[in-house]
Amino acid sequence: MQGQDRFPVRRRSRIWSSAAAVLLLSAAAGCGEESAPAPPPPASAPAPAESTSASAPNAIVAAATAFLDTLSADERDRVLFDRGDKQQQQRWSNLPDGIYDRAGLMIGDLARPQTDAFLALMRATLSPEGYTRVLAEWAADDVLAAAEGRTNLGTRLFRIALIGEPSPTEPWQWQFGGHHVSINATLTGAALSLTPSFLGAQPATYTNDGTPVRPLGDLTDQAFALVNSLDAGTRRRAVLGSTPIDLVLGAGQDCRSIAPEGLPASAMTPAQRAAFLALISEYGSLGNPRHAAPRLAQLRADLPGTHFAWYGPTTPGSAAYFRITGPHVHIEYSPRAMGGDAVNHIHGIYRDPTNDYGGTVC
Amino acid sequence: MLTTVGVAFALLPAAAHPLDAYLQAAYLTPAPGAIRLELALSPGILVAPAALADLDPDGNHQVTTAEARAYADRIVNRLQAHVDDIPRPIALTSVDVPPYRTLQAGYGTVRLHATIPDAPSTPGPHVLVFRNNHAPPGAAYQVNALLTADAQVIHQQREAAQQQSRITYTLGRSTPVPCTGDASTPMECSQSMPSPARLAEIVQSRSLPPPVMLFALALAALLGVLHALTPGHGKTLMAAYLVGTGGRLRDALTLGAVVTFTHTASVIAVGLLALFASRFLLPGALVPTLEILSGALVVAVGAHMLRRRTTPHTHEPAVAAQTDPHAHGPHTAAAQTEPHEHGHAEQPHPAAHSEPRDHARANQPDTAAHQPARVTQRGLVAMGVSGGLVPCPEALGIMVLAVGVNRTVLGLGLIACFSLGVAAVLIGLGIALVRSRRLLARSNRLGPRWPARLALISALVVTALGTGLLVRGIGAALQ
Repeated sequence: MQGQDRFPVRRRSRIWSSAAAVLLLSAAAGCGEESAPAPPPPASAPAPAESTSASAPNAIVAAATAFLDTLSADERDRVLFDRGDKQQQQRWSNLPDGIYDRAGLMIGDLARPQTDAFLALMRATLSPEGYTRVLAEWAADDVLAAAEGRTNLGTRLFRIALIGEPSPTEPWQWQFGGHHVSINATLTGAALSLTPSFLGAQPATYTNDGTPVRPLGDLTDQAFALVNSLDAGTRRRAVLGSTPIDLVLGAGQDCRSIAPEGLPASAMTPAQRAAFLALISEYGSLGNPRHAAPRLAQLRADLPGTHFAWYGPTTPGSAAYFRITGPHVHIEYSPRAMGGDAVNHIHGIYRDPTNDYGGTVC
Repeated sequence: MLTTVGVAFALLPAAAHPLDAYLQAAYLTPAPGAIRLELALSPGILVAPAALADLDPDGNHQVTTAEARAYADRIVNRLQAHVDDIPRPIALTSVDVPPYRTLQAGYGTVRLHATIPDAPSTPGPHVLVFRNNHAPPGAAYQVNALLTADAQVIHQQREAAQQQSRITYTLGRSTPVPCTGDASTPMECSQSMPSPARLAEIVQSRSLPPPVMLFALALAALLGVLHALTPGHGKTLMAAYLVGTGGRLRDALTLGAVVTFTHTASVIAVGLLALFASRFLLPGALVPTLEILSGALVVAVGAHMLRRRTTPHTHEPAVAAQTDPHAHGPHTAAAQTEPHEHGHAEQPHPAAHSEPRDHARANQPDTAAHQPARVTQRGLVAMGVSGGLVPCPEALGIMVLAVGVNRTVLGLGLIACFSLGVAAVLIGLGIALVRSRRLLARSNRLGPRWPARLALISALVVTALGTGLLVRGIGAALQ
């Protein structure tokens, strides 16, 4: 269980951002020989803490504009979609390339400065922890591609799309995604919505130069700790089944919400509730601190009516599914057994049933 | 043989390997009149060939619209839906098929869209039991109720394999109000708006410490108060009746009490019927029947009031008695003579003494026949019963849920508290009405004829509302 405290400690985030960048670099290099050049994220990128702590809404617009400025006219055409193009807004999936047809610019077709410019946009939008997590999930696909020798996997196959020209007032969305991770960031003026986003990883544990990396490990560990802290009565309410299930509201399941099930936070002890809030906040703090603050306040206010449900064994390290359902949040974490250990293959979704795509689609 | 294998797989759904699992995820959206159903079929790579053989019988690697439709129809025929214990047909609306190669690779999802068109639209709790009997090799099932503004999902119960699910939902205007605030005790929601959802949550709790129990009861009472303030509950009827008949304080109390009693009794009776005797009656017909009964009662009372207002029978009591269908009992006969008596023959109590003065002023010879039809015990009870006869969805939902999780006693306690809350509002309203009418009478600004006019208008309002109830009940029954 090494690396289990990777994400919760904010002051270590810079170290981990850099580590993830290095890791991406090496992972991409490890399997990139036979395929198209895959420009990795820059190891020399400015430290995320500085850039995000000062971020204003316009900083994200500025970063997006700077990214567009690195593109040729043709590339701009391919990356930009009309504002309000709902079809493109919803065109994301956890499926591998070739199985699911994505649109936009492929990372593998970009030159290094262009990728750097896009990553700067991602850093301006996300928190250091969120950025690190996304990069670690993304890098996992190279590890998988190398392990399985598959050409339809890998970081280079991820796509970028901008739906609507970046604007300080009009809603626009940047979309980044591929196998097991998709981020949809919708900006409307000062408001940022990071839902729906697919937060998965395969492999869920890998090493980089001997250092264990678990992109979702902190979430897994916190969830197991929470379910094991419940007494027999409350655990019976939380645990709905003995085997993990598939995502209920995964990709392609926009604009719907399910009835909350399981154990509400109002039935937890203060310590359990604090642990539950900490787990939810891991998702809520995906965005940069300035944008995450109102989101975290909302999730905190909703806590009593937010439910925690579990499918699967509760023994730490086993394959188990959990779900968090609240008035403004829908989170699922689902291990999938697809020719390997389910614990090592995670699908996950982060939604806000009232504000997916910043309320521009549903 | 294949079926046996399928059943074997079905018994171990999620344990099955996703590569050889055929996941069937059902999404059910309860709504008035029609329940939407989406079935997402995702055959894993090892079972995809079997699914494709079924989907593309001619094996040309092209799934035509007709093939997709036929495949979807075959699957829909294996689905079962019961609403309120009545089997309901499922109608296929459309089917989306991904590219052949996507299915072949084990990543495809075929989506069936269907509806259960024959679903109830009457407010109140309903139970949907859905079963998926499509059991291809590797079958694994998931089933979930989706939320809409029109229906509240109270409880969802699944068998372990999720092949069958029982969804309890209510139709009606109530919307859950989420708890807010960040207090640190289980009581934190007491600061927020009470909601049926919150109450349902408490009822579902397995262990309840006494403070939470008391809190739940208080919350139920408060919910009753808030609920009684929403439209309905015969408040308009009550008002019209009390105003039109010159009701007194005591009448207001009686009326409120009768409404509350009937309301509680009907919730308990209908709840228990729905739970334990639903096989012996048609639950879909129960609420409409009650509505018709209630409407008929109100129309009868309204007609009675109207007749009194429009027929100068006080001068010809014999004729009136002949034309009045209610005039066979001594009680009604007494009521007919009331305008001349200025008091309630059956209820000689102090409040009655204030009445004659009001009436003496208006009781000019030419208006004598148009005196308000006085409150009668029978009228009060009829009005009260009709006001409380149709159980409200909120209370019924709590009741059904309480019994469902084996907390019947708590459920009954909650309903009683809920009804007390309703009673407090209705009685308070009745008192306010009676008082304001008297004030109005004393100020006499509306002229000497106002009591007669008001009484006539009230009679018309009561009759119209009763007719409305009747029409609604009949409409619901005919669905």
